Parts: sequence; structure tokens; C-alpha cells
Amino acid sequence: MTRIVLNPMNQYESITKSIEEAVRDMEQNPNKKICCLPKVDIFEADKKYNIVLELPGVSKEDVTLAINEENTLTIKGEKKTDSAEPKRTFYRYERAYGTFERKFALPEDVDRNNVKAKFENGLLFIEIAQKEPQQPKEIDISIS
Amino acid sequence: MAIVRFDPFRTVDSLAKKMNQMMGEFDKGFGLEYGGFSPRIDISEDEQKLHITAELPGIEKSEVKLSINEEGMLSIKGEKKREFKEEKNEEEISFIRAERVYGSFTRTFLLPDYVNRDSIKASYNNGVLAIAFDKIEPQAPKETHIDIE
Repeated sequence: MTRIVLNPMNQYESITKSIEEAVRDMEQNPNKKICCLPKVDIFEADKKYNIVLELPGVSKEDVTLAINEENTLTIKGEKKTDSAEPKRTFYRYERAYGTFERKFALPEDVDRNNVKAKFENGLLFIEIAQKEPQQPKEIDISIS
Repeated sequence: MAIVRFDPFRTVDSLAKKMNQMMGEFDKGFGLEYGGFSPRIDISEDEQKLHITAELPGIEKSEVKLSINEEGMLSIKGEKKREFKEEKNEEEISFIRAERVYGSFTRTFLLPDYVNRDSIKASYNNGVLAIAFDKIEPQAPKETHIDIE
């Protein structure tokens, strides 16, 4: 258990921080087109956290995965248009293209060094192992 | 045009038929919500080909069925299933977040008359189904000239 000082404004600070981050990002890349919020399932099975993201039409090379020290998992990348020829007339345009990013705060018991990821049929599978729960240490104190 | 006997109630009849059809669809639920999943599709055209691409993440190639009927309706049918093994108990899996939707889907499009329906080519890659048709010159409607004696 980590010691956290109670700060009732903690949540508000993190919201302000992420808004600031988004604004800064927009200022730095004004031409960046955001494509979508990829749909995700997260579930626990076999002492592992499983994360499944829908990324149809995204190539493996265009996705980056990272976990920081605060156990925040970031998945970002870009969905590029697959039509190399610019001379196309569109009749229906339902698919969206551009950059995407999703962040998830992972629980404390994740093993950051034991992460597996694979890409299959337009799905990104991420498997993160759970750490063995540490038994609280008991210290015998003799009463004299 | 077929020769049809004059029936003053024909329009009323066909209207009633259409209403019945609509009510039938009501019972099944509306098209989009039926099955819960409807893939996103782009249709585009360049000088030689007509392209149709559909986003089908996590769907096995064998689960997708493509067909064209006599009237030139192309339909893409399939089912999106959950990835984890069925034999696992529900209790062993606890969901933290479930945004993805599953179920069967159908999307149907009327092909234009300037494509060669037999030239259909389909491939599945990275969760995207890509269909292409060759374009041809549209056939002029057949006219039979009748000589007047």
C-alpha cells in the first residue's frame, strides 16, 4: 500500500491537468485530425488483465503502447487512409481516419514487466499479468 | 411491361401490402439496432474500379458471407463473436469495461449498372474487408425496331 496524502482537490487537479494537456496538444499540432475513440473491452481472467481494442485498418507499425510509473497505460496511433490514389470519388464515407489515443489507469497490482501484446484481425490484444499479492509482514513483538 | 388487367383497387392493395411489411419489420426491431452491430463502410470509385471497404474488427474470415442476387444487391452478412473461449465460465471472467458490441449484422447495397458483377474480388486484412469491382461501359437499354408495313 502506498501512502497517499488526502487531498480533496486531487481529482479536480487531474481533470485540469488533462484539459491543459489536450489544449497544449491542439496548439502544437493544429492540423492533427482525430479519428475516433477505439472501442475497448477490459476484463480479468486467469490472474491477468486483458485489454482488447478495436483498431480495424490500422497497421501494427502505427500503434505505440506505453505504461508509465503511475501505471497509466497509453495506446496511441494513427489510422491512415488506405487509398493511395487521390482521385477517388466517395459515395459513402462512414469510416474515419486520423490519430487516436486512449489512456487507462491500471490497478496497483499490475506487473509492468510482464506485458504481452499482439495484433490480430484488426484487434489489439494486451495481456498484463497481476502481481502476487504480498502478504502483510507480521512482526512478533515480545511483551516483556 | 406486362399486360395487366385494370383493377381500380390495385394501388390500395399494394399499399396495404407495404404496410404489412413495415409492421413485420417493426416486430423484428429496426434495421440498425437489429443485432446491435453495424459495420462502417466506405464506397468509392476510381477510373477503373469500384471499391467497398468494411470495418470488421475481430471477425473471422469464415464468419463473413458475401452474395449478389439477380437484381444486383450486394449483401455482406456475418457475426461478431466474443474472443474468449466459450468453455470458460462466466464467473472466471470479470468485466471492467465493455464498450464493444457483438452480434450478427447485414449490410446491403444496390450495385450500379456500370460494374461487372463477375469481376468481384474480396480480401480481408487487418480487420478490414475490401471488395473491388471492375467498371464497364453501361449497356444501352435493348430496343427492338418494328417495321411499319
